[in-house]
Amino acid sequence: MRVVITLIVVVFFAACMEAPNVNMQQVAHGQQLYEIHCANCHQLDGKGIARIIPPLLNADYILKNRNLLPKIIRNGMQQRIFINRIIYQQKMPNNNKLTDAEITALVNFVEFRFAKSTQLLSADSVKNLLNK
Amino acid sequence: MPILAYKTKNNTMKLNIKSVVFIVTSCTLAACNSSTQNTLPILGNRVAEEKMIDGKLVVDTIYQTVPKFSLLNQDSVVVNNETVRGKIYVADFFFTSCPTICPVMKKEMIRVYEKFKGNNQVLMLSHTIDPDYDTIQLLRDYADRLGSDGKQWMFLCGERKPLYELAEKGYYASAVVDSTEPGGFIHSGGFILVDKQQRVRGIYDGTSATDVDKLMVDMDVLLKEQ
Ligand code: HEC
Repeated sequence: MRVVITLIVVVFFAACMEAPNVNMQQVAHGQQLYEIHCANCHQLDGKGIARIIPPLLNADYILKNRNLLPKIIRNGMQQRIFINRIIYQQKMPNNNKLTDAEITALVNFVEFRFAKSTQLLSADSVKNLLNK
Repeated sequence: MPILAYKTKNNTMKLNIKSVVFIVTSCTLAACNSSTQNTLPILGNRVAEEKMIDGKLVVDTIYQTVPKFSLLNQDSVVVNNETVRGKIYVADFFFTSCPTICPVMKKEMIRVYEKFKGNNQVLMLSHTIDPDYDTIQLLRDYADRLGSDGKQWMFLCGERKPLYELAEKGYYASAVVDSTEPGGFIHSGGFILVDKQQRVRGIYDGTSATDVDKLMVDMDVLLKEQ
């Protein structure tokens, strides 16, 4: 009996971890783009550099500003922002050569890898956020 | 074009059989000073200068050194050849708004700084090649953000023309304004290692962790030199 329960529990968890919302192919594509366009600054591990480049990994800023991600990636940003209680203010350059689909892949990679989110965005909603 | 010149330091050990003690001492010294086989090249031009000393013709080799410079650091303190005299230092060229290689270079320079922190024979000089944008105030903030104390690792600015000349002629680094380039400048990502006599002894890729590891090993070698 115990074995059966354990098995059921295991199967249940395995199903959860599959994260049906996550399109792993897209995340993998996002990772490739991240290595080309972002890792120089934010680093492969997403931890940033000292207090010049903010972290993406576990950044409260991302959790609070999910809907801004597509525009930050496309337009870059330069303002004083608080991330995990530290002020950053260097300039992030724009990426205006990236297509909507590429930005979708990047957003979803950042969300999945660094914000541990499984509620990823569709291409349509990224397009909407970009045109807002 | 700089010519790569290898130091032909006195590699022959003097054999003096007069005293056994002497041999034992020199062997011990040689064993301690393992860097004798491990000397670094001296980069740049060199000229042979002939001199008459006590009626004998002596050929002296004059090596190229970093030319005269005078710049301001992030605290508005003058930094010139006197500041670096008798110390070894690492020079690099960057600008704070650089979108490409500079963040990685700074990450690598943090490693060098952490390793040699507190060693008063070692300096790090990061020169901005965008003095219009990178004001002293901005450099001060940047230094803070990188965790630098502002004394051992300094952030320097000066007038564009002499600074670019210093980069090219003094450190074999390129710095060019180019509006087609991301960020507006082309520059090399080199870390330039300079010895106590202000001679360039090595150029390393400041974006490569393995190259910077090598730089740190070579800095230890230079520190042991007189
Ligand atoms: C040249 C360095 C650089 C590059 C390349 C870069 N960023 Fe940034 N990024 C920054 C800086 C600096 C900030 C903070 C900007 C500010 O203070 O206004 C930032 C902020 C952010 C933020 C919001 C703050 C945070 O840390 O959560 C996100 C999200 C972000 N970047 C994602 C990316 C992504 C994705 C890419 C690749 C497409 C990228 N960045 C490329 C330097 C860079």
